Amino acid sequence: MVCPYSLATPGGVQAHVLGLAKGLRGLGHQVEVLAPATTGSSLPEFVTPAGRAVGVPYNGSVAPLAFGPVAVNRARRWLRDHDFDVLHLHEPDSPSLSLIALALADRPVVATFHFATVRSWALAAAHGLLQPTMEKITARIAVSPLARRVQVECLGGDAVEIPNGVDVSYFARAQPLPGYPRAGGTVGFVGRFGEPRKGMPVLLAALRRLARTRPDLRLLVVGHGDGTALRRAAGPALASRLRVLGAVGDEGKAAVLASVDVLCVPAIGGESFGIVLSEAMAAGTPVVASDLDAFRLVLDGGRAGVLVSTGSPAALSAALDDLLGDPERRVALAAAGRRRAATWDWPVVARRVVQVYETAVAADPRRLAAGVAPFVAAGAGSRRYRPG
Amino acid sequence: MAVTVGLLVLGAGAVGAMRAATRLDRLHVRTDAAWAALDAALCRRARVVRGAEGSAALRRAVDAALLAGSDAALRTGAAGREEVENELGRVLAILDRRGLEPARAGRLADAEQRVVIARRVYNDAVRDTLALRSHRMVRWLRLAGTAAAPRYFEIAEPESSHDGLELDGAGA
Repeated sequence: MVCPYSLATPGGVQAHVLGLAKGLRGLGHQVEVLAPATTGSSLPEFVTPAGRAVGVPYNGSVAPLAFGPVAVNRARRWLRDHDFDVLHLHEPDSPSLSLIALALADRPVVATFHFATVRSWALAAAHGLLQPTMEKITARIAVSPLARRVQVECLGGDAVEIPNGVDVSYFARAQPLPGYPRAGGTVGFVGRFGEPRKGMPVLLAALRRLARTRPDLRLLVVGHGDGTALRRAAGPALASRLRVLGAVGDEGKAAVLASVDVLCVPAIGGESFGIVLSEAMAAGTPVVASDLDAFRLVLDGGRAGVLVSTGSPAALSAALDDLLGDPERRVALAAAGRRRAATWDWPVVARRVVQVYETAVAADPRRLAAGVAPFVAAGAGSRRYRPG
Repeated sequence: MAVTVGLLVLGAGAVGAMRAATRLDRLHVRTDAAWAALDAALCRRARVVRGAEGSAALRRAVDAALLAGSDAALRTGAAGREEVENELGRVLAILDRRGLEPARAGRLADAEQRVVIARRVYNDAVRDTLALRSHRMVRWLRLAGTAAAPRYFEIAEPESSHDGLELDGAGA
């Protein structure tokens, strides 16, 4: 598998690649991952670092990509050193390791597309140049109906929908932080809180309203960003109610999800899936989120979580107030969330991905040329793959 | 001077044409291989259905003539195949799976999912091939030769392929 983004930076695609790799290994397959990273960083043993990443503004954030002669060399060597059955590339149309690997590939290629926003004009312009390389893709996967729609409408391909996986037991058994859950109510926020599209300003405005009637309400914040700037933005009234834990890693995130009464995801756009929602659902934490298409899908139209008008502090504060005052409803939502998250557990998702690998191998032109009958799987676990 | 420029242009054109021809060749092979995989997936689905002959529910739902028809279509090729496979898909969609034993129901669902994947893979290959064949240069120079244009394989997909994430209203 090739991950285009640096593993040193947290992100949905990175988490997906590592989670899928572990899920596949759990099913008995041999997996190798190539990703931008420097040697010496603490990486799982199945990861090969491919050099330092450079921040490139992309899709509303800064993407840590590696693209250049060093990356090409590392990719070439990695492909040569391993005899993969299948090459699984993530976001191969971004100028990244995935695109490099695609250009070098000589075996079945499965490509996963994570994003639902239409890409930069530069890529659209380069579409003609990229097309011969993109024709090497055998099978496409999209993590949501939205990401798939982008494939169909803009990028000239269709894709199988396989949702992002989540490590259900990891989040379900996490212990709350000391002192939590606490009386008075705690709302959680997980994500890059300095990035406008993640919606922190909306949440702060909503909390200002709530603070009048709920004096003991606290906001627990986890993620990358400038805590000082956040406290300044919150103002004196709210700053005392903020607890900013910063970037705490997966364990910290799981503990926070187990500690809060409600997770709030007030993002205002640019979301293709919303992994943090599925993580909260796995943890049994009720979710209040903006009514973005992606979130509506994940929260099952509002049955597994509460949806509020995007960008409306008034609606958000009303929804939070209702939910914080209704413990029974929180329990019911938590149960619905857990049931839904179970369908996204990594072993379940990994099996679906293996079905795509098997189809890609069956559709391998080299197999046709060699006169070998198409591979037909006899059942789950009957064949061990080497995906790379 | 004009001759040099003319030769350069011709040379560039020839290189472009050769590249397009190679690409087209690769795409035709890719499409053939994808069809082989789709064919295998459809056959597997039919086999799982046939293999479930012990299941009274499935026997009631699936007409023996339908299965015989799919055998015949296998021999005749793609044209009649869509119709037969669509019919099988339609029958399977309205089948009450609770009447099947779990292992069999699981195998059936697995076979149906693989048909969906194989169809995407095949249609993607067809789309890329048709896109290249429609380029002006390819048409004028008749780079596609006598190879027939591939056709999409259009069958209805089972709803479960959306895995619990459904767009309200129109399907994706």
